Amino acid sequence: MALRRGDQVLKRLSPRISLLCSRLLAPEQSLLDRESSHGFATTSGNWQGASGRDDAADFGYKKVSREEKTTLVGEVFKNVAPSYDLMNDLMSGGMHRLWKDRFVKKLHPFVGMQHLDVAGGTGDIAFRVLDAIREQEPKQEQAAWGPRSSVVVCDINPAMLEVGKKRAQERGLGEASGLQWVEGNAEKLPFEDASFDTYSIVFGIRNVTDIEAALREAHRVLKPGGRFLCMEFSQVRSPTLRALYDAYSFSVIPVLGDVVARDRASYQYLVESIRKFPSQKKFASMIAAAGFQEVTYENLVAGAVAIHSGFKL
Amino acid sequence: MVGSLSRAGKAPLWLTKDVLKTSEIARLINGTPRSADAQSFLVASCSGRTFAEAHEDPWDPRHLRRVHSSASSQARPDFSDAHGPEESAEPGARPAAGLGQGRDGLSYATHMPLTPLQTAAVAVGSAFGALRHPDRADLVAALGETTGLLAFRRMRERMQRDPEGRSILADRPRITAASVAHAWDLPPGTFGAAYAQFMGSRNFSADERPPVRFVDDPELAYVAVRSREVHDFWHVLFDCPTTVTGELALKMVEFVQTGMPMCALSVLGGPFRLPPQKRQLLLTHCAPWALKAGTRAADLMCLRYENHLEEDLEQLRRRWKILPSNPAPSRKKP
Repeated sequence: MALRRGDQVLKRLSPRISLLCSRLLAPEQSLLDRESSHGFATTSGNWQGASGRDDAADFGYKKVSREEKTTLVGEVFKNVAPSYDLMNDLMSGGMHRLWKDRFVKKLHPFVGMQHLDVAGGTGDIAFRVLDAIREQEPKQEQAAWGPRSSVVVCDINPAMLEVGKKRAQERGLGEASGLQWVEGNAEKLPFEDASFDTYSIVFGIRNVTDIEAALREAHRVLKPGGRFLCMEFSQVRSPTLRALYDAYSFSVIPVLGDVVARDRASYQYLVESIRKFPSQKKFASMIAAAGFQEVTYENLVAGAVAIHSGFKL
Repeated sequence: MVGSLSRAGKAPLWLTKDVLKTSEIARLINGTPRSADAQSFLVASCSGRTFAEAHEDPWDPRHLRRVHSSASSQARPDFSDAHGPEESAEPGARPAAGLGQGRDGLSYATHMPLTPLQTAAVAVGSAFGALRHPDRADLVAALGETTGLLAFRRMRERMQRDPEGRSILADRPRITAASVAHAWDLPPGTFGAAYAQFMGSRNFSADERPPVRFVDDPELAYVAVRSREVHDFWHVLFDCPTTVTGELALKMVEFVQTGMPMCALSVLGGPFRLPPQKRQLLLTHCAPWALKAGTRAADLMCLRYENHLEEDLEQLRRRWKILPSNPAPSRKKP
């Protein structure tokens, strides 16, 4: 109760608080960064710009054409692929592992499942799903005669897939494990209709140029009764936390990207694209519009990360 | 964390930045992207980018070589902003000095100002990064700069108290391939000849150190650069090989001499990548030697090594009270 009252007060003061936080925590930000950090309050949840108009797409806070966006995102992930996992650990303080564990728990992998992980280049989710299935196998005798479990990792970027394949090799997950690596575009998946039990896309859908197309494709490839599960950075409701989160994002992450990954521009894109992604409710309505039912979402870290779930019924 | 490791056949980023920039950007801009925003992103992204990193084992002995980059045989690359503005490409030019002019409120050419939060983030990030990718000399350098402010201040005070140190602080000489080129012509037995043999046999170049970025005071930034550039001289004086064990042993000496937390962290984190016998060797054999050698030696930051290249190596070791390392007892005993 007190928290809600406090939030109401803070909502009135929030523009000043965000200004104060950004000045305190990142006084050396360049003019561009300052504009970005003040811009977040107005552009969060503004998703019409991305898919509404014909040729324009959002690349962070920049406006580019749709074909350009695909090329640019491809360049971003080609650049970050070698240090992707290290940067994830550094930016989230190792918390991304907990989020992915929670995600896979929610997925409830079962023996004999046909799972599709889109934009899962380096294989974090795929490995967890395989481990979860393996844990169950000794308990279920049906494993001998049911369909073989299969996890397909689909990613548009070959550099990310290479990192994933190498990690699979290190873990000893070869062909026999049911793991497949496929290069493909989320907007036009190279799979047949109704061929998967579950579809996951983790921290990837905000990079897709046409999000509705990706959602429609997800609906197409899922079997009836199949589940769509998506984890993505989303909007933080509480103004104070949002101010802190933004100050951290805009001051720390591009610098870490510069020093560790040697690519500041890609990480600037990362934090801007997070701000441009629709809010939890808007995204849930987009998922419902693609044909999914029982659409729900779960907030992690006060809304910084959200898991959306929908069923094809 | 051994700062001099690098993948064989691949020169460090800061040397080939320009070479990569032009060809990569030309390739990308001639392709699909047309809008100014897209192009500016690609330019920004490429300028920080390195070539695809081979996923090889960074502790493989083949990677213990830095390659004499092709860039130093071309026109001096963009890294030259770390040299003084008087530097020119023609031979016989004045030796490089200082860190270059800063612009737009930067203290020097390669300066990147950070807030306290960013400094802490870079320190933690580069520590974990260097642990995972020990061949990344720039991460070790970043860790050293963000954690070593107190150590740099102490080094500067010591240099100011010593006459030779004062002259170094006044002139701010840089150790570049050009400034030590005469070492290759010196007679055997001299410090310069030993240095030339050390660098030549490993195909090292004096230009391959990462530029300093995160130190705000230009004089302290110079102290940081100096401590990085004299590292190869210390290899020669202490007779430490560039194997992982040798580098860690020299890092221990460096810690005793300079007090930089990065050296302590390297020594604490580095050995975990070694096999157990080597780790044991480090502890029982190298650590006592490093402590003794480091405390006994003269103040190594106050020595102008460039001026002593013609002198006899053993004489210098006696004068500066340097105890060279003795190799570990060989396993193959008769």
